[in-house]
Amino acid sequence: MSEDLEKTLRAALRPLDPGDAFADAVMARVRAERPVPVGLRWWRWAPAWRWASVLAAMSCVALLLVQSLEAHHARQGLEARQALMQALRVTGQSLDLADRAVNEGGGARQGSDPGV
Amino acid sequence: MIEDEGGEELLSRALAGEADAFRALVVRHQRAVYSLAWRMLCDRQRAEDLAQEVFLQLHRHLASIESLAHLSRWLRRVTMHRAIDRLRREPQRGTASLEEAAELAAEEEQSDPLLLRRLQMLIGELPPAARAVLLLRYQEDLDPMEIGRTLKMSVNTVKSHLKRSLAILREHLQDSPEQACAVRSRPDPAT
Repeated sequence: MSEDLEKTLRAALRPLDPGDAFADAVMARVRAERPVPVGLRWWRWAPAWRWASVLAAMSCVALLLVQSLEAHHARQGLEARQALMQALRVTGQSLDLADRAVNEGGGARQGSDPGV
Repeated sequence: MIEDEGGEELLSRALAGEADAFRALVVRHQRAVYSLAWRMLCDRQRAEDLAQEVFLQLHRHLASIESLAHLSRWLRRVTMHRAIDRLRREPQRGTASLEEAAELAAEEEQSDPLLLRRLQMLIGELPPAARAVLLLRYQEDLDPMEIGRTLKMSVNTVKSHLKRSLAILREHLQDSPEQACAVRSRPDPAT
């Protein structure tokens, strides 16, 4: 029975011919396919690489963004420091002037005070 | 005639970009690919479409084909995986109609056409993976190891599918033909 069934199966599953037009239809579809530029073939036929490259590009953009934010903050810090130094310098100069004025004024008052 | 040339020669010419050689390769393998597709999908139109897509994919991947044996393995593997994928996406619309089954059996003159027709319809009702195993075994004459490689299954799984499918077919073939025909020709609820 088993051998009979296997023999019958082979007979039932004999390959079928799709007809003469089949190969022509395949060739028409081959011709209709727009040729992909060589540089883009890898993009079209390698989904894993395609997604990997998208991820890599997104990582690069994120990295550049973080770096540019860090540079911006560093630049802002430097500018604030420079402004502070400038303010301190101006304040120092003002204090010097005031000190000098006080000292000169005091000396003059001392010289003109008859009671001392 | 170009179809009569040696296969390896054809392959190398197709690899070199000769359209005639590629067409000859299609002619050489179209029966196997189309038959597998039809018996997996149980629908002539869908099978023809799938078989054409397989050859289109072959055209794109031709550079990766190393030999004729590799080409046959590649075609079987891609056909079966595409058919199983398609059955997952668009479930089978039904087994082959009586007319289609009759066409399938028409070429067989030595065997009982009724028996062949019933067998083809029963094969169409097997689950896709079991059907794929059965087709590769009895249509393509592959051994279980080769079937396992093609369908990415272990040899034990292949053997188990074969054993179970043969048991199902044997059991149904022992039923009365009238009962089986009554099941197949039940009226379409839409009509």
